[in-house]
Amino acid sequence: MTTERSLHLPGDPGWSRRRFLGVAATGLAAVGLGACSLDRASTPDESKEEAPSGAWAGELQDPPLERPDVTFTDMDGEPFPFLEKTEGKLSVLFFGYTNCPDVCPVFLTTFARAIEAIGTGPGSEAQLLFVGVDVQRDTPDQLKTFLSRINPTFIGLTGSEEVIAEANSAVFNPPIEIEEDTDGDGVYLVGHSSKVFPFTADGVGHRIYPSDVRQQQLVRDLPLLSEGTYR
Amino acid sequence: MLEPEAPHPMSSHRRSSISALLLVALAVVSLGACTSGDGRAEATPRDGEFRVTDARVDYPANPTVAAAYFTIRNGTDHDDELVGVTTSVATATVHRSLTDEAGRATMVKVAALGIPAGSSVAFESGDLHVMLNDLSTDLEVGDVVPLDLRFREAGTVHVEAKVVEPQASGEATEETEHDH
Repeated sequence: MTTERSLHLPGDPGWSRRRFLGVAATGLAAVGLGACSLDRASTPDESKEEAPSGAWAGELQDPPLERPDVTFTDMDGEPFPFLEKTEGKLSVLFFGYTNCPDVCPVFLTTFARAIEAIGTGPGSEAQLLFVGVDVQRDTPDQLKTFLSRINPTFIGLTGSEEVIAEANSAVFNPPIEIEEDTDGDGVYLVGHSSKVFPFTADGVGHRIYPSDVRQQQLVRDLPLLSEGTYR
Repeated sequence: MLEPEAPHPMSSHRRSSISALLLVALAVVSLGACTSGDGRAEATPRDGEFRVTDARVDYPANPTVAAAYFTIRNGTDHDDELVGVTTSVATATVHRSLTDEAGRATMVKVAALGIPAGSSVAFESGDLHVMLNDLSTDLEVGDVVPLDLRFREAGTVHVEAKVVEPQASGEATEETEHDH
């Protein structure tokens, strides 16, 4: 079983529900520009409208975000030089782990459905690149199984801890936190960036999205990003 | 969105738990709710019934790890608490997904979840869920996962969670909203 040890308060074994909630509230408040508030911008009144009405989701980056200059390992165990492989293409980078039951598969499913909904034309070519940050379990084979069950066109990337940490910090993500498997049963949790990074054909990231972005928002934004529009 | 009902007499422990829950809900709301559900209790009619509805397991991308979701409706006059979930096909743990202070997506284990009298609590993607680890069978859409939910007052409630195609963010929300 998973331990109740906190991911962000290591060395504090007495992690009670009440403290978790208190910390959570503080944490959420401290996030401030939390991704959710940006998603919120598109649905200001929680209306039931499905299509966002012309508002961008995702935080505008000025200056834009540079792509990480690292060489990952792909699902066939081959080197994947990120700059070279994503040159001139709408490439959407997401960090997660294959034992993630909720946030990762929900985002990946949302992205897959958005691509299906776009169908053909601008935006449909957006390439999802999933970095498995849990190097012990996110092997090339495991990534292949995981992603093929959502969308076989998604690319899974792994690498050494150093490579992943370098890519992670290149996009200004907080450090990855991997819970200790204290009881050795192979079940442990991983804290990873909750953001999504679309890099456009001009080689940079103009907007950063929250991983809970809605499908309809992606259906709206990806074609625009594909055409070089980001404002 | 429905407002929680007026406070009812309850123990100080419960009250502080619920206050904490509302604090989180408020924090989430102040930043803009990510989904319609932020795990807070919503009012439900006091029809005397204690029910678990809408149980589902999203078809998992990882064959050995899945998430189960359901809605707990406490129509009784007694506060209750979910204290555990078990299933014959996996190890089950109640978790809440959240974004920590550094901006990391993470999960925390929820040892006991208050279900106040006259309220319902919905488990939803990106929030409360039951993590199913070490699944002993490769689930297919249409399969049924038996779940036993243990409550402090209501005892054990058995539900059958159907394995469904995973929903994209936004889809589930609309479906839920149409229920209101």
